[in-house]
Amino acid sequence: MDDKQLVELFFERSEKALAETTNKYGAYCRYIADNILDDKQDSEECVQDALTAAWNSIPPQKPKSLKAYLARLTRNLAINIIKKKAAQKRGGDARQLALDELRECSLPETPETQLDAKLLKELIDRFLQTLSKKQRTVFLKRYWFLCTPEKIASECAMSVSAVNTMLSRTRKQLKKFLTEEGFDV
Amino acid sequence: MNEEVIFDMISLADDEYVLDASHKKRTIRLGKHAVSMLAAALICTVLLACAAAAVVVTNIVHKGSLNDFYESSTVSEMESRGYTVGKSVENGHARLTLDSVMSDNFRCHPVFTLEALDDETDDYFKRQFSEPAPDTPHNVEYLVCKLCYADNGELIYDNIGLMWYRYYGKDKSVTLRADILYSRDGVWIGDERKNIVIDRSRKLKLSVEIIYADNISDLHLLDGLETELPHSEPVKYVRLYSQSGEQAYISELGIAVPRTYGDQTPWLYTIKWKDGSVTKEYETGSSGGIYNTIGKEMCLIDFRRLIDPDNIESIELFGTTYTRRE
Repeated sequence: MDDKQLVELFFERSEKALAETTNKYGAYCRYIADNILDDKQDSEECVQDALTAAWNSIPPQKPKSLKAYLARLTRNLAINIIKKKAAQKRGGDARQLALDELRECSLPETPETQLDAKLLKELIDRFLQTLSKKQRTVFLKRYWFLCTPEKIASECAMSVSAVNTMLSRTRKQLKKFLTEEGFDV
Repeated sequence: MNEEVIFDMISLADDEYVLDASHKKRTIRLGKHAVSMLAAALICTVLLACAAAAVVVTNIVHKGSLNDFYESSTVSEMESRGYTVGKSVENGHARLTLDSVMSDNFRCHPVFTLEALDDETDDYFKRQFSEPAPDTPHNVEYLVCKLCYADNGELIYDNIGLMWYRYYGKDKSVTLRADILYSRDGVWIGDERKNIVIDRSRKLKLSVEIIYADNISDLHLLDGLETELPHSEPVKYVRLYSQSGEQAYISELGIAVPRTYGDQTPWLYTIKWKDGSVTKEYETGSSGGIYNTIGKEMCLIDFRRLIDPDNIESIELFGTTYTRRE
């Protein structure tokens, strides 16, 4: 069943919608949740919540790619979980580790700049376009999917050393890109 | 723009990019028989590669290529002072020639030339070094150096950055400089502080490794290309001090100050010489060719010519003046 047919099931409020979606994308959602959460139970609950969120939002949402839509729901829910947990104990979670690395790219605040979502999306898409496919894959696996460098190395048939080198260089490129776009004082 | 905003920005990446990145490289499951055949083939390949790496004493130094990193007058001086080497090693695919080694208390710069000996390597070098020549030395993507002790092969560090300047041409060669960076109490390479102390009483060995290539078969083209670094007497240096007591280290090879700066160019500084003359504004990208390496705690600027630190009166850098302390 393709995404269009699955979304139609959601619109028809068919009971088959969740079963078919779980069949097709359950493992993918679990992959995303597992990268971010270090607890299997949290991961399972997160995936269930993501499917529930999809049921509650389609319609009126009509995603072109159900896979991408579910990925975002799962990721956002998983990040909310670790944010809540981080409030209770200090760092080391996947998001915090990614933030620590991205601190290299950060620039002084520019209060006069309106950083709305549309502008940010345009910025990141333009930056990603400047990267080779390999670089983009490794970058997004690290900072979107929050995969560890070891996992990225295994999935991309690279050494861990190569992954870390590539990430370090891409972060430098991002910083340069943001500077050239005027995000520094 | 702080890291939280950057993280949120990455979250907004287009679905197409995210879906594309979610794929894994396809792995082929092999049966037991196939695995043992593959292992045998791999062992044979490795043995052949090891057997093929031969030391060739050529005594040829690629002087023209040293000009990628140093002015001509400096290359001549390097020759007269024994900093040029001219030792080569081949593995059937490529030849590595160690052209020169110079070092001070913060850096060791082996410069070497890679030449393609077969079509496969020629093709790989064309793809790897295919961009128009950068106007300043640039980091090489996906090639690194490994540093080991020569006596027992003990690894010191396996991710040393390489700089390149001139794109691969008709002579089928490219010259690279390894940036081995030290600190007084340890070693750091590139951006990572590793706190590995190099025992400089032992001989060091450098090898080149391809850490990523679009074609898996390219990964082994430089296997076995390793060279012992000859002992290189550190060049002359002086310490200069700011009013606040901050110390700058100026050697014949460059400057080291305890600062952390971004990659902004140009790097501007002013040297006041003892004879009263002033040298101003060496810029990256110009024929002055100053370029910088950033460690987490030190800013290193490399000169393209050997300067005489004994004749320096003061240096102004990043708005701070450093002078001699009698």
